Amino acid sequence: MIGWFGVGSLVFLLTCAIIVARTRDLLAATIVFAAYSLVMAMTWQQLRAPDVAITEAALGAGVTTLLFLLAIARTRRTEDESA
Amino acid sequence: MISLDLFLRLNYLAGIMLFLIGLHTMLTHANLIKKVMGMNIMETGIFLFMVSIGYAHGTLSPIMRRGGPVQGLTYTNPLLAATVLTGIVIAVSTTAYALSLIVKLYEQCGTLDVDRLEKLRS
Amino acid sequence: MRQLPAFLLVVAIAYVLALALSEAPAFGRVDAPARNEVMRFYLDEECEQSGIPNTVTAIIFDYRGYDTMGEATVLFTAVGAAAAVLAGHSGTLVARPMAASDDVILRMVSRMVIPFVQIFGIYVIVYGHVSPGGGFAGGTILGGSMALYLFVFGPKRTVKKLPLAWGEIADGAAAFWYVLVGLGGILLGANFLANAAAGVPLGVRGQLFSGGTIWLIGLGVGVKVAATIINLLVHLAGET
Repeated sequence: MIGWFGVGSLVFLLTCAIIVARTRDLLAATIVFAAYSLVMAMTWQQLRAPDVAITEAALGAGVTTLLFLLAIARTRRTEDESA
Repeated sequence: MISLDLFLRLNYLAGIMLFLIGLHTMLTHANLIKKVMGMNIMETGIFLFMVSIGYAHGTLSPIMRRGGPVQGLTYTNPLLAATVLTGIVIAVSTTAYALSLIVKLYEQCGTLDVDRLEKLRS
Repeated sequence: MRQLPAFLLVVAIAYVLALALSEAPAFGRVDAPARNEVMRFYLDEECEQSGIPNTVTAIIFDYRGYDTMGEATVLFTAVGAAAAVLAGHSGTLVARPMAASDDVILRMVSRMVIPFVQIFGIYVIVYGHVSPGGGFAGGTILGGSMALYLFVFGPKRTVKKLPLAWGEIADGAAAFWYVLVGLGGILLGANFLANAAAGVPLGVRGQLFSGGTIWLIGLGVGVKVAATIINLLVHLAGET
């Protein structure tokens, strides 16, 4: 068994993914995506892949978030373009 | 026939569901940045699936002791970890390139909406 | 209007994947089909052939060194393409470049934290063959520390501290370094990127200078990934 911690992480991951998909605010989606990546790194540590976990914690939670933040800073924050 | 065994493979199921959520995001949202986010979720879903394939209960991470592999102990599959490590780095460079294209597109057209871009073209 | 076809497509793919999953072997079994003789070969022979404890690093930088070189090229291409796309302001609507933060706490804390993050990144790069980590993970941490600087102090000061040309030179030099290490194998009379097969001394397993060319390649990849990340972020921040 992967244990309750593993099941909880998977539920958290799915919840985060759905929130990222549903929210209309791109900045909020980026922040939730960072949390998602961090929990994904923990899951990989639980699955005995520490190299992947370190890389994901730095790349997924760090650099991808920064890339999205920069892109949002240079374009627009909301998804709706009614204005 | 889909059996109930599906729910005993929670990690595989979660990977597939993340893939589907990402795919749905990519298909239904008009905003380009949201599409890139959906692509990232798809990728992590696939990575979760692949790392889960390599895992086995009661195993160690594939880092040996100084004297070589310990007899009688099993390790997780290092091949899948190596492949996923490669994939993560490629995913980030794909994201970076896509976002730089999107920023340039916004400079040129002033919109991130795919439908508006279609109208602008015609 | 695109909701319904997309939903139907997703449901169709979900059905196919669920069918495949119900036939899949159970999760986490020690005798699962993926745990075949290829995996056992790597686990049993790696310590003798590459001489380092971390099997994942050995696979990336030694067994599949050629593949990793292609990956370094992908990073190179991503930076080049991003720079080419974002260079110049030909658009009608110029997006504003990123501004620096004026938060005192943020500046002081990041000034204190960044050196430690960089030391940790260098540690992960250099000890990647003995402990978890390696060129990719450590290079990302190193690049992340510079990205923190970029976000707190703004692109202008970052470019003053680390000129864009330096980052690009580091990027290219690391890729060239990888090829040079590979050519060393040919000079020693074996294949491109050959390690122990070319007679490179492997050293004592578990020590810092061990594993032959793996250490050198890991160093190059670490520098390359760090340079790639900071170049991409500086280009995207709009200071070119």
